[in-house]
Amino acid sequence: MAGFQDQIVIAVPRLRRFCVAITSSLADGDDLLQSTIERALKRKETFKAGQKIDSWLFKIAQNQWIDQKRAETRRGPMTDLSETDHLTGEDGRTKVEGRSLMRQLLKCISSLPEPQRIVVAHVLVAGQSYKEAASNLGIPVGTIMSRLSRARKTLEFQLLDGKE
Amino acid sequence: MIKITDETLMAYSDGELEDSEALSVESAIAQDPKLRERLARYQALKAVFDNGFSEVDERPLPPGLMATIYANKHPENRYTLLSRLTRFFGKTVGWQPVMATALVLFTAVVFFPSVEVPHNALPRKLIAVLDNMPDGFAENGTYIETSYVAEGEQFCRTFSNRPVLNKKGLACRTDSGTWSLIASETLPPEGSFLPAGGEGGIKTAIRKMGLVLVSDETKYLSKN
Repeated sequence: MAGFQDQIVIAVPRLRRFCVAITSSLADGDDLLQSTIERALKRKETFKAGQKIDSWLFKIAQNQWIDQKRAETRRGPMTDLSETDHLTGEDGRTKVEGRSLMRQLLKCISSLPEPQRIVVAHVLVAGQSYKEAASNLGIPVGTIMSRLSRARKTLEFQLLDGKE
Repeated sequence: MIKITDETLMAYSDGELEDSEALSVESAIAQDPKLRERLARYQALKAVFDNGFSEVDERPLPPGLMATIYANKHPENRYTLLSRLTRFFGKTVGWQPVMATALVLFTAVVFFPSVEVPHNALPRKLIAVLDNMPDGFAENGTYIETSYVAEGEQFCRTFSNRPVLNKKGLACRTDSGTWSLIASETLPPEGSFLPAGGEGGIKTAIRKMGLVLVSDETKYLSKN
């Protein structure tokens, strides 16, 4: 079985997506990723055998983010999309399209009410099941479904129909 | 025909329904073009998310993240030691500040005598890691990044050490078997993903010395 650190490394890509989604920012997402990993390592003893490490990490990230938001009341808007500008690649066209899509996606996600944004981060971004998301958030599966349904309607309206 | 709500269709699209429920939805979809259209929109939104967030995966990880993970290889031991010290000091009210300061000084002198010495006197624990640890592994707070050889097969390695040196460094093994610190750069503050920087110029040193990457560093390790 993979060691604790190895399990964390395996979970990093999903955790990173989750962090970017809940902060709606690439830069803040990476900050949150780093602080989540540090806290997870310090609190290794709270990780129970048999528990899914990504669920545990998402919970830590979510709590960290809430703490940060409380502490940084003086901070400006969370969305910092300038970070995407340095992306370069072999296929410039694809990169530009991707970058613009990422930018648009984060903008739309940031416009969602926080409870909906968190459910979107769990299910649509990190790929958790409704049951896992419900367990992580401590709410019924039905609430996950209704929040997700409302969020999807908003996102469809903005992303597929191109309306603000 | 059963009525399919938005939430049921969404759950079907997300693969959340039981087989029997999924079959009911599929038969309803087959008969209703509006349901097909709604389902297509859910799938299109999902594709937008997959494509958009693939950009996150392509970005390089924040520098130092992997080192942070592997530098904490035995956090439980430190936790136990810390807990014991806390319990001990907790019983000697009045002496805590003095004893804590004395302990810190003692530890610094005994275990890390050469923190300020740039050459030929790297901490013993760091030398042990440089001698024995393969690339990508960490021990005693030192993470070994990459291995190189210079002309004449001199073995060199880049490493980062936050707890003691707070530096990223390039060290080379000398003919006598000791290690010499060639260049170093101060690590960014913990939690930051700024690149390491400073006076050292590790890259410049690698270029000037004509160091070549080693494909199998284990043959240069002491315990090979």
